[in-house]
Amino acid sequence: MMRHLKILEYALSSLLRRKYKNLSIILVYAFTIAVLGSVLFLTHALKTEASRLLADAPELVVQRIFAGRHDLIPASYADTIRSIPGVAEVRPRLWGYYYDALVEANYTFLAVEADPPGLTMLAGRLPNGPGECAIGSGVAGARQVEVGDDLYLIDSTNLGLGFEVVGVFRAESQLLTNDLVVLGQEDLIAFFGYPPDLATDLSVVIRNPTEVNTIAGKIKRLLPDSRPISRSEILRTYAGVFNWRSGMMLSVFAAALVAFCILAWDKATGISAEEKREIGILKAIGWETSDILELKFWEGIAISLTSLLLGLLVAYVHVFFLGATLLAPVIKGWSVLFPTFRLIPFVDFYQLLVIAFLTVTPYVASTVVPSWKAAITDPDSAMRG
Amino acid sequence: MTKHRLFIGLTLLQVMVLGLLLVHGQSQVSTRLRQELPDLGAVVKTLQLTDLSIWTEARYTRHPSQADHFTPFQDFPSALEHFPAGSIMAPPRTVNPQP
Amino acid sequence: MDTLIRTEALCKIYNSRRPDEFCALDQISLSIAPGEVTALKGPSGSGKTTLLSLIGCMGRPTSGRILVGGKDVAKLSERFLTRFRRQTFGFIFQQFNLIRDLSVLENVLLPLYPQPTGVAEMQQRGRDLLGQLGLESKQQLKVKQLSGGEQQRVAIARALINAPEILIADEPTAHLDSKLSADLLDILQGISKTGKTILIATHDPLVFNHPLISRTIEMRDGRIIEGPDS
Repeated sequence: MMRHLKILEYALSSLLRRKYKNLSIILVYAFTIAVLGSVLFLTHALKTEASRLLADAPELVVQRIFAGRHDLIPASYADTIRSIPGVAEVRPRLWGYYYDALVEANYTFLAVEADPPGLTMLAGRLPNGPGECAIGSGVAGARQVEVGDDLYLIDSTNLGLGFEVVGVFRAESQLLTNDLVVLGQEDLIAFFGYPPDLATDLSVVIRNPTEVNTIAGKIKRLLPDSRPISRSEILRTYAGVFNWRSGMMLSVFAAALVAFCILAWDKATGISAEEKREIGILKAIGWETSDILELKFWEGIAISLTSLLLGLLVAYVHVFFLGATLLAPVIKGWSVLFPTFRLIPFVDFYQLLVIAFLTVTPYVASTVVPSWKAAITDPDSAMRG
Repeated sequence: MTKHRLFIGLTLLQVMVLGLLLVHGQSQVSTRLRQELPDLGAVVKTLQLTDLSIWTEARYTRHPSQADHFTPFQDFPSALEHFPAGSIMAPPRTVNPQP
Repeated sequence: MDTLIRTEALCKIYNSRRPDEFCALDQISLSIAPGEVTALKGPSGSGKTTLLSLIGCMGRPTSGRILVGGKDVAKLSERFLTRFRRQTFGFIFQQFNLIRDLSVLENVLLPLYPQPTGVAEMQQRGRDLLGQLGLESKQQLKVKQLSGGEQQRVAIARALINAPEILIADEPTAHLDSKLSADLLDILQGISKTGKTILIATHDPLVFNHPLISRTIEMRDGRIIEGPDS
C-alpha cells in the first residue's frame, strides 16, 4: 500500500514539474467533458420530462391530409369516429399559429370550450367569454402585459382586436405554455375566420388504452384522408429529440472527439527524449518495469480523473442549477420566445458511467502505452550514457 | 511528501460533491414530480396539448409530433435545414397501422 | 580469502548477427574479494563500462557466468535480478544521471519510492546520508542549482541509500577538477573503510594511483591484459 502511495506521490510531483502544461490539459479536457456532459444531461432530462408531461396528451389526434398537407377537418368526420366501438368521446381541437410583427415572435393560438376549469399553473383564469384571453409567460414578457391589461392582435381580416388578459401561465409551466395565447372558441373561430363545421383536428378519447392502435387503423380505413396520431407516437417523437444523428448533436460529439484525439495524439506520438532518459534513470536505480508502468498509470489517472470530475460537476451545475444558460443560445435557434430551463434533474447513470469510461481509459492508455518500450529496456543503456 | 494526500483528498471531495449533487437531484426528482406533475398534467389535459413549447421558429419545430411528413422537407428532401432547431429534432416517425 | 564477485569466461556481443556487430567483452574471467577497492583501467572502448554493467546486473551476458556472493545472476528472472541489484549494488554513473528538476533529497530517496519503506523512515535515512556527505543544508535545493562536485556527492548518497554491499563507479572523476577529484577519492576511501567493496572504471591516473585502490585490472579491446596485479 505504502509503495503505491509513494509512486503516486512521485507521479504528482512529476506532473507538477510541468505545472502549466498539465494544468492547461486539465482545463481543456474538463471543458470538453463539461460541454459534452451538459449536452447529455440536458437532452436526457428534457426527453424524460417530455415523456412524463405528455403522458396526459390526447390518446389519439386525427388530422386530415389534403395534397400531402395538414388541412382542416370536417365535423362530420367526428360523427364517423364516434360510431367506432371503443371510442368514448371526440372533441374538435382548434389551434393555429400567429406571427406577431411587433416582437417578431410566433405564438400558438388555442381555443378552450366554454366553462373551463381552474388551473393551478395559471395566475388568473382561462377565458370564459368574448374578448378574453389567457397567455403564456413568454408572450406576457414579450408584449409587456399582465393580468388586466389588453393585448392587441391583428386577425385574419387585418383588423386590430383587443383582448383582455385574464390569466397568465406561471413560469413553472413554461415548457408547455410559453408561447400560448388561449381564446374562447367563438373568438378563435372569428379571429382566424374558420369556415363553419371545420376544425384543426380532432382529439379522440378511447376507453381501453390497449385498443388505440386498432381504433386508429379503423379510422384510417373509414376515412382514408385522415392521419391518426397516437399518444405513443407523440412520446416517441420526443424520445427522438437530440437524436445522435441530428446535426447539433453530431457536431458536438465530433468536436469533442476531435479535441480528444488531439490530446491523445500528443501523448501517444512517442514520449520525449527527456522522459525516456528519466525512465532509464529510474530503471537504473532499481525501479522495476511494473513500477514505471504504475507511475505512468497514476499520471494518467491524476489528469483524466480530475478532468472528468471537474467537467461533470460543471456540467451538472450548469444544466440543473443555471438552466443551461450557456447552451441555450446554441439550442435556441431562431426562436424569439424560448423557455427558461428548470429541468427536473433526471440523470441517466449509465450515461455517466460511459462518459467516465470513455474519458479515463483512453487517456490512461495513451499515457502508459508509449512508455512501454522505454519501461522494458534494460537499464544497461543508462550506464552507457 | 504530502502531494498524494492532497490529491486523494481533493479527488474524494469532488466525488463527494458530485455524489451529493446526484443524490440531491434524485430526491428533487421525486419531490418535483409529486408537486408539479399533477398541475402540469392538468394543463396538458385541459388544453389538450400535444407538444412542448420550445422551438417556435416553424410549425414543424413547434409541433413536431403533429407535423406532416412533407413540411420539414418541403423544398427538397435532402435540402439543408433552414432552422437550427430542425437539426436538433429528428423527423417524426409514425407507424401506420396496416389496414 | 572469500570471493564476492567472480566471472567465468564472460562474453558480451552487441547487435549480434547484424552488420554493426561488436564484441565488447571477450572471455573475461576474474574474481574480487569482499572489501577490495578495484580499479578497472583502460582506454575508452576497452569494455570497462560493459563489464561494470554486467557485474552490476544491469544487463545480461551473451555467454559465461557471473557469480555475486555465490549466486549465478545470469539465471535470475528480471524481477529477481532487479531486486538483487537493488539490495546488493549502488551505482555512480559517469553522467551522474540525477533528475535535475527534483530536489536533492528527492533524488537521493528516489530508489526507495517503489519500496514499502515508510515515508518518515525514508526521509531520515536520506537526511543522515546527506549529513555524512556535508549536503544537509542543500536538501531542498533543486539539483540543477548545485555545482558539479555537489551533484557528484548527491549521486553518491543516492547510491548508498539502499545500504548496498558493493559500490560501482563509472569514470567518477571525468567531470571533476583535481581538487574535487581528490575530495571524491577521500569520500570513497571513507566508504571503503566501512567494509564496502568498490569497483571503479577509470582512465584517470589520479584514481588508479591513489592509495585507496587495492587492486588494478587493466583492460584493452574487451580483454584483460595480464599484469602484476590481476
